[in-house]
Amino acid sequence: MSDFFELERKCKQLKRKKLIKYSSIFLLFIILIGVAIYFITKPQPLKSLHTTKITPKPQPTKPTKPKVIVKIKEKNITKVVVKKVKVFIEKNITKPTPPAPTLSLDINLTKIQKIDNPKQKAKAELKTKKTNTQPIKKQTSILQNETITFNKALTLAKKYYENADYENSIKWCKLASKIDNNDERVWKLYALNLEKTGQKEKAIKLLKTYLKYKNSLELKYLLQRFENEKN
Amino acid sequence: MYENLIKEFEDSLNDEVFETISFNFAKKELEESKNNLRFLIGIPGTGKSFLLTHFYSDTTILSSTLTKEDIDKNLNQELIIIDEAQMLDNSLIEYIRTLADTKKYTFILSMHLREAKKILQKEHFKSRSIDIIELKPITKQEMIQYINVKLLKNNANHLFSKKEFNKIYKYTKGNFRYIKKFVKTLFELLDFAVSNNIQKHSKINSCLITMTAIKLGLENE
Repeated sequence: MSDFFELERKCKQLKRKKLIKYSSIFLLFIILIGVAIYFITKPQPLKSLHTTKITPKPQPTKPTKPKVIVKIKEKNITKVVVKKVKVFIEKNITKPTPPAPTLSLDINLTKIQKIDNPKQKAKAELKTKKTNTQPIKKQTSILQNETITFNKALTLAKKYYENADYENSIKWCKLASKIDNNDERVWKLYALNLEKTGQKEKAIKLLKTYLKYKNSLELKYLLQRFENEKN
Repeated sequence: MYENLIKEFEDSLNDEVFETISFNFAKKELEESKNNLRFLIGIPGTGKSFLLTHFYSDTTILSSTLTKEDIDKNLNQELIIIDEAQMLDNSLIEYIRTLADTKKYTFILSMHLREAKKILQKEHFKSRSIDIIELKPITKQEMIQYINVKLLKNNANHLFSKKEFNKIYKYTKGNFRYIKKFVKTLFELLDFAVSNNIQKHSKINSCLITMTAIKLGLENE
């Protein structure tokens, strides 16, 4: 029995090995249970709190040719209008009235859009509010804290025009045009203001520029009247 | 201190018969079989040789190293028993088969289970009616009974607990020879521990059983 102690040592070693084996299995089992419990009892966030990215479904583009052409035309129009109006304003309008804010026509025409939709209009108004708050504040000390909308600017311009304050009316016209430069009422009022301030030629040029790209019977008649009066 | 017990579990063919269910069944089948060719099969250590020596003590049991001449010499008796027959040549097995076919001689061939299966699959055995008697390993209850009977003889009962019996059976798998060897080695270790005053192993414990298993190569280190 000389190997008794050797056998004892081996037995201990074997027991240790078994202990490690079973304890590691037990530990793994506990971890697995823990993980399972965690996933079962994990509070699921409310759906409303989720910031799910809703990718807008790509709307099927109608491959109708005439519509594409119209779009292209509009784009071309915007480019040409921007250039023309810029030149026109630089030469004629902006120079005589240096303190007045630059006519927003030149800025907004770059993004010429048909703002027939009331939602789009509101968006555009908000944009102008953000980008052009400072000049508005300078101009209108009364309405410093009020939000300037297209309609407000237009009514003020009309009121100034009715009160024969043409310079202020022109300012409000420019402001209204920053919000929506497609509205022919602004152009009409602006032209009428120019007429009143004795700048009929400028008014004719302005109307011609507009009528080159947009159709408006009212403005056509006004242009005719101006030209007739000139002659 | 445990010398008597060590001797009690020594492996010997002159041991007292411990009749298990499988043992009795095999014995009965061997006696009642009318076939001239009988196969006693089983895994090593189940007690095939023990069964043959005890129940056919008046018959010469031939070993595996026999030749044709050795068989011829024993043709004067009707029953010829060959132990460890798995070692025989194919020609010798064929010779035994032809002798058995004469119906004059009865052969009992004792062989290991694995080899027997191979031999019995051969064409000439497949086509013949032969008796195959399998000696199965003993059950756990039989093992406990066997050990307890031996312990009682030496007034040393209650040395093992149920847990220890389970462990012994797990290692020995009901192999009779292994059981005897295992318990003998276990008592040797216990005897050493007691005589050397190793308090830790003064009684049979799981460590002593594991040590025995390691010593007999039944446990991987």
